[in-house]
Amino acid sequence: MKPEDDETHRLQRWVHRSLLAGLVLSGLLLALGLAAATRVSRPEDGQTPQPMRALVESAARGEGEALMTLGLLALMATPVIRVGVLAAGWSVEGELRFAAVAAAVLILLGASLFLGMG
Amino acid sequence: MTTSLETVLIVLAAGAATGVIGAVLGTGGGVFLVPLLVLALGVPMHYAVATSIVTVIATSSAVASTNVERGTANMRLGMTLELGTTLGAIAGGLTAAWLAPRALEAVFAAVLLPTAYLMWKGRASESAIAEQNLPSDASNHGDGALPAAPHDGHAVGALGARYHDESEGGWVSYRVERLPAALGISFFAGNLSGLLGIGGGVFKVPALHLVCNVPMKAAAATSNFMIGVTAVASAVLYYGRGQIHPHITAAAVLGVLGGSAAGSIVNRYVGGRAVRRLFAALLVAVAAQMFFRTLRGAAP
Repeated sequence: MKPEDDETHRLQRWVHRSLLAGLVLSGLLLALGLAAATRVSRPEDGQTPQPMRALVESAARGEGEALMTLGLLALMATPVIRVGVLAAGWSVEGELRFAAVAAAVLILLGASLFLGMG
Repeated sequence: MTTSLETVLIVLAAGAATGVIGAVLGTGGGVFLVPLLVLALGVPMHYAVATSIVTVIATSSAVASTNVERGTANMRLGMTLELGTTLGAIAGGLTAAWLAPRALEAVFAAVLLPTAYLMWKGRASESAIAEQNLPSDASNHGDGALPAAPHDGHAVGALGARYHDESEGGWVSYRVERLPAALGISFFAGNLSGLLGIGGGVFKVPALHLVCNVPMKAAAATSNFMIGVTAVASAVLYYGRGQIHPHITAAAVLGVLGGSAAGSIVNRYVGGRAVRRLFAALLVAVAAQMFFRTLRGAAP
């Protein structure tokens, strides 16, 4: 096997792990949040996005809606982290053309975040 | 919007059902989930689209993690086309904010019709094209071990790739052709994804196969690889507008993930043309129902 094949397989493994980790984390938070929300019936806060700090504090108190929202944010972050892993991996491998493409995708996702939350 | 335990359980079941259907039919399931939420459960259209787009992220991440490890997803091609899909998804997500729910339902219904047509035709058209497929280095080593990849780096170009196809018993190599056209189609698919909460794979996979000459298996895996990032680009916009309802979306995501896992098992026993055509007919009926609601102005 050529060295570049090893590098590609290493990168594939990292992408696989990052996607799996994101899915497990978000799945756990969503399941815990849903269980907590159905166990203790509370009025829903409405859908205005809350600051991250308030979300984490509420989640630490075991509030279902905050746990679910954190789970959804973790799920949304998963593909973004995957793009970041590829950008870094391709940079290390010297594949600057594809590293630049991945960086451009990250910039577009950042623009979307700005448009959505700004 | 308030949510009862009963609603959560129904959404969980609806998500599981669409997960199974999606796995059996090879679609993301969004084309079934959105109408189910809107028509059966009375969820407002924009919330249903937002819920669906988040479930698309979940299914894409789950399937992509496997496809990437197997090497069937072409990461270089996928990332390049994500430029088009992400731009399209942002445009779609922004456009959705300006559309009234009834207009969005009409657009969704209009997109269901070609989707139903492609689903009806299914693999019959794919196999016809597969015969004129790309150079394959099929060589069965017969010892169960993965043979070494052939070293023809110049043959596949910068965007092409090779993967080991177990069904063919060898390595399949391919070059990518007509990239600008693929970028245009990716923008269109991303736009539909952001606007309607669907993955858009039903359009992207045939396009990658027919336009770019990517083998069917790699086209499906690469399309799925791209869908997660595409969905995030618009999901953030829906989240910012407060249209992602945590209870409903969490239940749908967990249901779809469970349903997809179960569907991959069910897929071994069911499937085939009759089932695919049954669901294609169902999509036409759903499209008719949504058109009817639009004409009556009954959308929430």
